[in-house]
Amino acid sequence: MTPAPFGARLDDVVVRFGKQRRMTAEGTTIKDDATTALDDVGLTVRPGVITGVLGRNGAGKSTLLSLLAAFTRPTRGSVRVGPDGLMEDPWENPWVTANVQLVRESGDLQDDEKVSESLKYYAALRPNWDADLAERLLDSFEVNPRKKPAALSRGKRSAVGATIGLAARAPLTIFDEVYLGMDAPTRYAFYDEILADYAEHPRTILLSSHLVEEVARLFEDVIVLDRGRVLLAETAEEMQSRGFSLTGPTAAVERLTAGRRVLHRQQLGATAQVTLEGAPRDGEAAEARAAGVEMGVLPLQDLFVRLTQRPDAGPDEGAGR
Amino acid sequence: MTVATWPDRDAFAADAHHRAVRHVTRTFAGGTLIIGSWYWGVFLLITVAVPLVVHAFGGVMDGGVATGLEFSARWYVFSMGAVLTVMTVVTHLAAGGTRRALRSGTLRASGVAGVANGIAFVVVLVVERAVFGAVGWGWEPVGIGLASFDGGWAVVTAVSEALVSAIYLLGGVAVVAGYQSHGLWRGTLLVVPALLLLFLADVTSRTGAGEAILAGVAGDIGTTAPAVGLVAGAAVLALAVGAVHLQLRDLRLRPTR
Repeated sequence: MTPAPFGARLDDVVVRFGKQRRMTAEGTTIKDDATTALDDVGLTVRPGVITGVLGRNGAGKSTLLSLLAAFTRPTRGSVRVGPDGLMEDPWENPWVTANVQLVRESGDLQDDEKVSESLKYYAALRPNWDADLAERLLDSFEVNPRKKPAALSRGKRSAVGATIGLAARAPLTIFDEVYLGMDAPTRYAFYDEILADYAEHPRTILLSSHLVEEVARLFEDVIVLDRGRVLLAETAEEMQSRGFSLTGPTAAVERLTAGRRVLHRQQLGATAQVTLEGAPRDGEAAEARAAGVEMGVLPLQDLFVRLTQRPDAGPDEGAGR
Repeated sequence: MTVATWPDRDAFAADAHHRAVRHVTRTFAGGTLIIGSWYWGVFLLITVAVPLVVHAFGGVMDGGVATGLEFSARWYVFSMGAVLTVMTVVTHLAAGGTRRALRSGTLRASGVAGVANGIAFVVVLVVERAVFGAVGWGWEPVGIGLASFDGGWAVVTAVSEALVSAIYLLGGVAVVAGYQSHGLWRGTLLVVPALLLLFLADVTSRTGAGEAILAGVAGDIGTTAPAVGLVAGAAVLALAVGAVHLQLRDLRLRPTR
């Protein structure tokens, strides 16, 4: 029996970690929260789609994903995970935890045992574990399961994590930056495996990443977090309709850009590329074509950078890359 | 076929829980029995070989090799509880197991390991007595704190050692779970109540380092009736289960980056 794809719903979720002592202006010492990882987060993860979870370092991505897999619990608010109509609190709930696979970059392996021993543990607990797929993927990623995790490179450990995520065939599969250690060919092989397996075994997949440009093609929905808050949670299509790009001769591009909010600008010789906020005006596409300017879709990365840009960002940070 | 109804959901959840409990039990009990078979195997060999060698060279032993058994046998079980928890806890939760399954599995494993240790302890004593008898030496039993050396000593000692071993294994689990749940400083503070449990296990069984410490501080406190000792041991076991429950119930996996 395979459960239907799982979705998730978070309402008013706050997660705080730790306490710290702080001196007030009056000189008294008070104890308050050290870190608010998630602050009043409310969002819905649609079942059966691939959702990208984007955010800068410390945005709260890992904390959000940990809540869904019951690795941690919210300080306040409600987390519900499950198929449509059967969503439940995941904490200590085997119905949810056995159907949610969160893979972190570490792979959560048994460090002092061979990789094959960790895989046996996953196989024993995961009701839909596909041992043949696991074997094929390890072979394809050139990972020797007889080695201990400590003897593997960071990339190979990531590949083991990716293997676990795919072979678990969980109705909610979450990859938390699991591919950071992989080299480019391995990452692309992994993305292809995700799409192929997703087509064959539909489920909900959540991917968090810094490599926005690389993974954007996979997303059907996108969640953008910044400093513990949800900046945006919508379909990739809606997100792309928030802007568009123009590429062509600098003068023509500048003329078409006049009066619009520029999200990103890039210059290469006489050619300019700008990313603009909002939808094209009536007749703007024809005008651009006539001027030799190509109109394109909004690159997700540009919108992401713009949304998460700090007001005090320097030249190397934010939209002005 | 997809699961979409409550009866399916309940059956799935129950199966997932039992599957996780079984695997934890197998991991902890299996690991402890494998290491235990080496420990007891080597100890048994020494128990037989040393008196025979000493006898062959014309010597006489005042006490048997098993004198140290009551001290060392329980600490290897404690170590196994700690080591296996370190190895397992993160993978278990990442593989979809619950903290409740981890607690139930370690509890069952402590029962299996305890019974095995209790039996092995008595077997070593019986073998040593036989070897000493064979070479014509007198033999004084050690580590049978609750029993007088009569017909029932073997059963009482086996049960008592089983309780002590189970408590020590759970003590190891509680210590590591404390570190995992509360971090370095609070985890270290929580070692104290865990050690107190081990002390109580020693005192109620009238064996081990705890009993030696108590005897040093309080002097001779007489004997304890076997039934009283075993009931008290069972109560300490219940406390150990409670300690594991407290340490595991809110265990959170920390970010790995």
